[in-house]
Amino acid sequence: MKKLLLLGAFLTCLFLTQSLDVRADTISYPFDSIRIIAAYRFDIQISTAPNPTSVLYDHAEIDDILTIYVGTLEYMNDGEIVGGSDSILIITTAEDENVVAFLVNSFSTDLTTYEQHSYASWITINPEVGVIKDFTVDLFELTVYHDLTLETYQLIDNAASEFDMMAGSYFEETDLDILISAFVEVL
Amino acid sequence: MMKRYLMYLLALLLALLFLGCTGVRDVDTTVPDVTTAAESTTLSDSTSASSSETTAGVLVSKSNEELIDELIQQIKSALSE
Repeated sequence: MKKLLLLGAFLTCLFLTQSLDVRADTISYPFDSIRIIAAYRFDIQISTAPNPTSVLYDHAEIDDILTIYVGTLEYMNDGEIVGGSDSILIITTAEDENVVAFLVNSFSTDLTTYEQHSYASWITINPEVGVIKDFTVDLFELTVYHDLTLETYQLIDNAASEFDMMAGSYFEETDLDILISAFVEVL
Repeated sequence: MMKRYLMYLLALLLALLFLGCTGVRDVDTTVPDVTTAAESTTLSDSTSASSSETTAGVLVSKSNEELIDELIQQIKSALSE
């Protein structure tokens, strides 16, 4: 009976030890560089005045044109991809002022008609940890909706206003290999 | 009987100590050490001219803002016609 109890205690401890390892690996995936592997851009025209709660409110008025940039990223560590792929959304004005630059927070698709990425202000990156959610900042989330049948894009701001892609403004680079070091040398 | 029980207990403690040490070592390797990163950069750097400078300096991780700024510049540059 004691042998069984001891064996049970041993197996329980073994299981708990292994579980802690897996959890630590999951929450931490440091990287030493970021690779940009693809990017696209398109323009939107502000058709309705941005809501005062929108991140676009102080940066755009009716008829203004904004450029939406989206880049696909890979976090690298010692030449290996870690943490899966990521994506960044950048919105600029016609005067090249950066309005927002948010990293992806969530993704959804039905695989046939649409896919959408949501980008959030609270997603940050730290090379020594990986992706971190920082809820101390102002919380905004924007969505890029891709209609797979019509091959059109749409920006949905944090006030749920929808802005369609201007026809003919789409441009993409699908074969990029731009490496950005996550560390800087200090003498 | 008591002696056998103590033997089992000792074996269990030794096994847990071994597993605990292994676990801690695994977790530590997931966190990058700046010093280690500096050394690996020096080793993988094919330009010998910069190796002395690299060993003299310390690699510090860039902030979220610095990385985002670089991403913005690079993506805009890549998509400029």
